[in-house]
Amino acid sequence: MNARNLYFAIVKDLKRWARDPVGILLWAFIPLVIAFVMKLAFGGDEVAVQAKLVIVDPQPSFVTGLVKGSFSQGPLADLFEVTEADSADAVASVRAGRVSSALFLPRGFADDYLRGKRPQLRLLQNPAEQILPRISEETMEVLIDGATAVRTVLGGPIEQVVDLTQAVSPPSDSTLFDVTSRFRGPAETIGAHLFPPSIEVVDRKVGEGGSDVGREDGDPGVGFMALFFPGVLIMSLLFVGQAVAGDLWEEERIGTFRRSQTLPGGANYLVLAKLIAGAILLFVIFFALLVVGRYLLQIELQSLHLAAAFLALTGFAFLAGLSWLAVIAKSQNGGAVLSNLFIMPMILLGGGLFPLESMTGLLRTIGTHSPTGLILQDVKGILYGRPDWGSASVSVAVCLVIGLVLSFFIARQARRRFLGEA
Amino acid sequence: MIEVENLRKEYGSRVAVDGISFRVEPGQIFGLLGPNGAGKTTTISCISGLIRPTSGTLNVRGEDMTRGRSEARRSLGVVPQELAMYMEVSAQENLQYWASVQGLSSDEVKRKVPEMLERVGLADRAKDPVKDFSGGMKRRLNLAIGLVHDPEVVLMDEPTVGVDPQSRGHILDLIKERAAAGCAILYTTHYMGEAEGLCDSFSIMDHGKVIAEGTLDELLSQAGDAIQRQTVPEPSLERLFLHLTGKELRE
Ligand SMILES: Nc1ncnc2c1ncn2[C@@H]1O[C@H](COP(=O)(O)OP(=O)(O)O)[C@@H](O)[C@H]1O
Ligand SMILES: [Mg+2]
Repeated sequence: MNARNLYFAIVKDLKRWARDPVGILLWAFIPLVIAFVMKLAFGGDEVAVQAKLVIVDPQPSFVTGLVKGSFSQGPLADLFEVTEADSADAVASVRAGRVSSALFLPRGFADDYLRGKRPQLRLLQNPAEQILPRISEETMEVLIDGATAVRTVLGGPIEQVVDLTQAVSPPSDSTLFDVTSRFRGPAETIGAHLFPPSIEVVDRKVGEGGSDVGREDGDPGVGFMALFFPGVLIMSLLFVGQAVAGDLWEEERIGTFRRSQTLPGGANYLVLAKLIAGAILLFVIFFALLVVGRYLLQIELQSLHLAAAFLALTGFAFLAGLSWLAVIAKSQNGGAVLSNLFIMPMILLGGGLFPLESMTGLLRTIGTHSPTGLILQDVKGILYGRPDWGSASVSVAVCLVIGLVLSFFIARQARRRFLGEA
Repeated sequence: MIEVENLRKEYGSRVAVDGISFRVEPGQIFGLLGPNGAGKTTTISCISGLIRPTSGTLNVRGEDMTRGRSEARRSLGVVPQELAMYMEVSAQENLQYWASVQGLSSDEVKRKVPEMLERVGLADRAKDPVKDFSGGMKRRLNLAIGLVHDPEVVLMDEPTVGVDPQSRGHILDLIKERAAAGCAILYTTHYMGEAEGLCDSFSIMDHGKVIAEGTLDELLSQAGDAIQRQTVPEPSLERLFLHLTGKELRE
């Protein structure tokens, strides 16, 4: 591998992403939006900003119900106010500016979906509104990808996932106690099937901006946002990682991978460069997120630059893992589905959407020993002023080695996949 | 410069290239002609080392191109059929990047890139992102990327697809200029009129096989009456091509 080529390719990718940052930034900041919404929901008197969405469903079914349900449950419920209408009314509402956007579920949506095709959704947007429609658009993609992955993982019991989403809808008053209480009923019901030990209630009431959650392991008391914020970082890591991994397919699509492969050194440099550029991108994103966390959300975070560097260096291995999954698949969409198989469990169990502190028993054991759970332990230490540099250095070293080794396999697999060579 | 002998490439049971042979000498523009699916791109991909031939020999500047990373690749310029460039960044940045990874030093990059942009008529749009370019401009940049490092051997895969006559003229002039400077150029196309005015020597391929080869005069005299009889004006390569490959539609 040629170090010069590596350098030029890193600069090339950073420039490309900087010129067209919207996609990647959205992926990076959607988790923050979710956190904001949770903050608003938990914060008491503040009022949430809502996107008004009208859904047109000419052929209601269980699956379309799932899609519609996703908007009225969990954190999304606070982001969207959903109504249903027929096609003509929906168009009129968007035109008149009464709603931000209209989502059309096509006939045959459920069929397509269950056969594993990616259904075509049409989103009609109110041109006067810039941000909210864009959020609906991106959220739809997350939902579809996410739901596809969940369906693949669980092989069918979608109802149980619906129950799970219901289980986490934010409570009306401002206590974590309520979240966990709400878990009890549904979680116990589905627990036996889905997550055997289920999520047990942490029987401790938390006050406003609560200060004594999860003390049982000697964790310092942290506020609600402090509890959820590390999960935001994990979700951003996974989403951005997926975008970077998808960029390998982009290089195949536009022919630049092939062109690079005709160079004297071949295209190996291109793969490693993308992972390194991705890690640099992660540093920038994490730093920005942490600044937002500290100054806007007023979470008492420390050593922002060190935490961002730690996340970027360990993120290198996640980028590599997701890229590897991307090129194992036979198409870009297949790669997205495959990496969702990894991402969704991480988000659900690995400390992404639900704080590991709110889990107990086997779930918590799994969560804290998952790749993201391990990273979270180190990064929380750094952010909340109890760094364990020994453990953090080991994590970084292990992740760098994993990333470097994987980059070799990614390059080899990319050649097989893109050039059809053994 | 380029020697291809008995080249064969199979994809599973499908034979994409079926035992073709040809040579391209320095200063020569060699036309590899054929309808879609004939095996032109597969041939070029084998020579450039992108894919491994099933059998046959491939030499560029006397070096075996099937054996891993050969030195000969340094003197190879490839102009692929697709527009292999980055749409978000400018023409200049694309050219700088590709010139650098194709082995030019930073001094050479500083000198060659503006020269090349000027030569393909993109100097005044050098700073614009490529996504704003017309088809012809992108094609010219695609060509510039393949030529910026002054390769001695150039493989061009349909470099004029979908461009206007002006861009086409510009591209063809540049190719002739390179040949005059001693480059060995392998040129594929299915535009016969274009090949007729450009190439010194031809192979016509169909279904993976070479079905005719030689200079234009040789080809036309081989075909003899068969194409002259039906034609009132001068016999042309276009008519010869249709005579040889038939009129049914291809992929
Ligand atoms: N990766 C591949 N796998 C299977 N068949 C292929 C592949 N690439 C090309 N082919 C087939 O090989 C034949 C020659 O293709 P190609 O070399 O692209 O033709 P041309 O460039 O002359 O249009 C075609 O029938 C094409 O479908
Ligand atoms: Mg072709």
